[in-house]
Amino acid sequence: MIKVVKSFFSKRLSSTALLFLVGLFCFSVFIPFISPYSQDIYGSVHFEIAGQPPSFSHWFGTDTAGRDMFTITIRAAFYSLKIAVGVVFFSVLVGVPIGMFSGVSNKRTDEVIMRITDGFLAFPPMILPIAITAILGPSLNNVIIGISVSWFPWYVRIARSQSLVISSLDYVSISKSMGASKYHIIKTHVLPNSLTPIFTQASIDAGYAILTAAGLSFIGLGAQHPEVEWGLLVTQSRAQFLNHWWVVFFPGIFMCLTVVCFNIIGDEFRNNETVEK
Amino acid sequence: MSNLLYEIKNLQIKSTPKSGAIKILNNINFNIKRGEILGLIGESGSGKSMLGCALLEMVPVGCLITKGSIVHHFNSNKIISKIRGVHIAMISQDPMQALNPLQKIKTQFTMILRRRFTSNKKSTKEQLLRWMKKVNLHTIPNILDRYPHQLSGGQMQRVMIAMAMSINPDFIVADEITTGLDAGTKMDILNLLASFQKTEGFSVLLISHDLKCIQKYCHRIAVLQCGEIVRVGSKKSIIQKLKDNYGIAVKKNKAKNTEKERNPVLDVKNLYKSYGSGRNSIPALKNITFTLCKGETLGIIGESGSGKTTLVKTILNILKRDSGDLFFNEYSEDKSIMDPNRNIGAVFQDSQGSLNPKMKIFDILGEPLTLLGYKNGQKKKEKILIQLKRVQLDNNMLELYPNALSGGQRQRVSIARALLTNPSIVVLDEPTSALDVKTQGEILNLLLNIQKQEKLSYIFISHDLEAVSKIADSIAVLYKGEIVESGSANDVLSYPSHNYTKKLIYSNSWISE
Amino acid sequence: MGLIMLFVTSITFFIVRLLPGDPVFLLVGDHPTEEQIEKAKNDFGLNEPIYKQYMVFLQKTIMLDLGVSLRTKQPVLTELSKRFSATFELVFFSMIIALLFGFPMGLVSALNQNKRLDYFFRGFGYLGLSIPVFWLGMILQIIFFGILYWLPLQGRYSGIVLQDSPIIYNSGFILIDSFFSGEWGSFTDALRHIILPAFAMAFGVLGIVFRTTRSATIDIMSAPFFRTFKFYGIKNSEIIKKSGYKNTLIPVSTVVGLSFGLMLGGTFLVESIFDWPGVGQFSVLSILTRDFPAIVGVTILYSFIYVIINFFIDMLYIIVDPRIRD
Repeated sequence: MIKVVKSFFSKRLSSTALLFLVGLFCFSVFIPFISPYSQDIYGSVHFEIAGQPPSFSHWFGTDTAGRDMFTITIRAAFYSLKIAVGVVFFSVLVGVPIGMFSGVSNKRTDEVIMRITDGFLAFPPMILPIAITAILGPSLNNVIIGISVSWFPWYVRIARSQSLVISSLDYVSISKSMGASKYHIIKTHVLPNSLTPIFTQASIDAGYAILTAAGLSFIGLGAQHPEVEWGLLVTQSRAQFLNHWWVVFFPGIFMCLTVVCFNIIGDEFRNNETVEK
Repeated sequence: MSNLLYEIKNLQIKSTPKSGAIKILNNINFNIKRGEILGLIGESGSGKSMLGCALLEMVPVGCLITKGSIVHHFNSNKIISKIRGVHIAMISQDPMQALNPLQKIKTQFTMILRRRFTSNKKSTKEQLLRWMKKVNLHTIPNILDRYPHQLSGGQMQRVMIAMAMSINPDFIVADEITTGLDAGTKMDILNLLASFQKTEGFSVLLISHDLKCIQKYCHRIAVLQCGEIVRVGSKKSIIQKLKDNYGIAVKKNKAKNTEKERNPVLDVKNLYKSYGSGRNSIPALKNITFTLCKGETLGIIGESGSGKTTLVKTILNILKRDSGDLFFNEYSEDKSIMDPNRNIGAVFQDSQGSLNPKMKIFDILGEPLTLLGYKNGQKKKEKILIQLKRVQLDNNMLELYPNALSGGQRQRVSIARALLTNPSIVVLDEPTSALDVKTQGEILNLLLNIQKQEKLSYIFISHDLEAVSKIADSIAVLYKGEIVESGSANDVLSYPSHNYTKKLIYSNSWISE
Repeated sequence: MGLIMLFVTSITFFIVRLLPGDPVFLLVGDHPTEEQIEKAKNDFGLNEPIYKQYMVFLQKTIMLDLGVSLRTKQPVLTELSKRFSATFELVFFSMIIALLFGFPMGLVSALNQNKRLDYFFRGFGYLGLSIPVFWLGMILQIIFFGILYWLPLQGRYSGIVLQDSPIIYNSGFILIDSFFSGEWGSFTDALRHIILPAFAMAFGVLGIVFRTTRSATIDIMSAPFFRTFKFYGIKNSEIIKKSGYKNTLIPVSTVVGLSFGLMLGGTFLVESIFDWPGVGQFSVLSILTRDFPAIVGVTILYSFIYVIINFFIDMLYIIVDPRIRD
């Protein structure tokens, strides 16, 4: 037992986590072509087999409309991962350049950028995504927009502090003494040396993006049919979950595992970072 | 009861196989007698602190005692880790960090007393006050209710001495206890410790890199070099031997510049620089004026905090000066330069921090050329190879990352990079002080050779008098942001006029005697 | 603090105005009549230039005038303050649970680094960070209500119990009120109701507090002062107990501040699962009915609370760290 736990925390762990995520993604892409119940993904109903517990033919049971929970849970991974990647991609794309620019800019510009960033960060997480998706209307893309808008300031902060730290190092001083421009310093020195902390944050955030998106789905602001992600899957079955545990249990477990995997990968990045130092 | 307190036989300490199984200490044999002060001298990195830790059974994680034995003869049968804080006390370097910054002195002192003695609150308080009096801290109001940051380094070290004394120990390890303190305080601290030793009669292992303090206070001396004890003996015999060795080193002084013609290349006039603004502004440089001549080396001597780094950055124009002029004669006779200038190269102390860890050596050396507008190609490569050869590095290094190089090699890369822009002046900010003695010499020689070939001018900034005396033609002494003394190297070193310079030279004097 | 609140209000205003969608519909609902639209435009000054609207919005927010809920036709502020105590009780209780378990677990884990207990706690911490709150809530309901029948499914109290033992005090915090009234029946009833939702909320924060405490303690154990005490033969656990714990309080209080934000977000989910009559549940209903004044009101209220809490946590640093004090 203890051995299993130990190996769980060793290096093998992060590769397992990565493998799980990649495998899950591939599986979710191909599931419409391999599952015998692939029609369920597009909303077909079979009331004659509604609410069956897990069995040999339906590994995760069926929901109240008789859909195969296994097929739709796996398919939901596609949309959940899409949110994870989308949110992180946009947050990094917007946040990192602003932050690095802020870090190498003069005091005034830096101050203004940081104050605005603080303003965004003063909202509790969830609140801004809720407000934004409520106004834009519920849809998967709006969820990505909503979460990205409230999270990009974190990347501004990380990128800024990185660029501040790195610009104070000797090799940047020397580069400056040879007449290097801000752009040159960001490109050759700051960016390559701040990738690790950014990836750390991005990886962990990818997991939280899934959780936040699921939360939004739960209060009716998330993805809509047919883009069913895990949160929506759990929400759909809310009315009968007390008697049909499997309809909430399996999507939730998958969500949990995915977030754990993102966390593990993030921690691995962080460990590398401390080793480097 | 034997006269010995510690017997150390064949001690070997290695880092764990995971961290490379490097020998840190090897074949250590010596004894510590009752009631003596044993000096342990060695350069940084020689394994002094590790030896101190080993005596306390506090070898840090990642290191292992692989051979040998440490036998103690305290009045106790217990193993050492059980008698720390009872028979053994420790005073470490950096007193400002030695106690928890978030708690009062009183609370922390009490913790240590309680470990040794069982006593009630009132008597503890009395004891604390008594000890504060003994180390002359009772004049500070509410000393016990203060937090560490509210005391100075010297005062904190007194507190640490009081703590060590308060448990009535038989043995104290004092590890570089004066590092970072100013000269006067150093003396006071060591005198205090020595006077306690005289009255109480405990043994002390005084670890230091500073021969002067060891010489003054110790009964016997052990010399640690590269993880091995090379000599143990009475003070007299050791000092004599060390002097002989160093004497040879100093004789290799620089052949003096014989050319009479002196052309100034850089004029620095009335430079001022301060940090912060308005009322909070702190002056860092005050009225810095000097002239650098072609093919010569100006040595600037200063301790940490004297404004060295600020001076370097201001000369390189990375920091904007508040006022003053920087004339670059070859360039334009009367145009004060404001922007980074490619005629001035730079080499910094920290060889690791000077090289971007994510770039290959080729790219690091290519950077100055890229900035000059060179495209990737044969021409760029040729230029890099020429400089690489000049600093005596192998071509196959170009594909490596800085981490794979030794400190000396990295410093050579830094020098090569500085030379790639064909500067006429190179600013050398403590280029050798992070290196071991042998490499230091190599790098200094390399610099001298290059200077001869290229007629380069150096500004050599260091706290190390010896290194400066080896390389400099003229010397300026930087103290609290001002140049307090300047002149030819010989004049300044032989006939110092400012008090600070005298003190500096005096503290190194036994070497050059 | 005031500046941050101004930023929060401004960002909210610009998000509402700049995102696509006619603000009129946000103010009067989805299917208004012509007259309603005209009236709203006049009432809310939508015909005015945007900077004027912005000034009006700021002015109203400062006066705590958050508009009128479309759904209940009551002022949003009244609606929110009615439900605030329930939410506050839940969040506070959850935070206490998270700290009560997370902090000691972190200390113990750090002292037993890489031992069995540490691995177990770390696994637990990972789980806390990864479990979706609402899912955990539902699973808890399945187990403790559906299978074991130990705890009530939802709500804040049972009406019957409350009738039998009326509460004298009335601060809105049922646990406190019933405790001081000496009504043990009501107290245990309220306690039984709060356990599941509070635990669901606390679990994630517990993981965060645990991880922060653990890593901060490990950092402290390599601090020079820690070595000083070790040199004097004091045990690790003793040093932590008498001195080192203070240093971990600083990073821990930072994450506690951030975690309040997580919990405020969590109220939307937990309150609607457990039918907890608080601000979160009210907001979810508002979202479902597209009651925008209420949504904007909640956004501002929650953000203000969050800012205020973090302000107090900054004050806490001053108490803990004498270096900041001087």
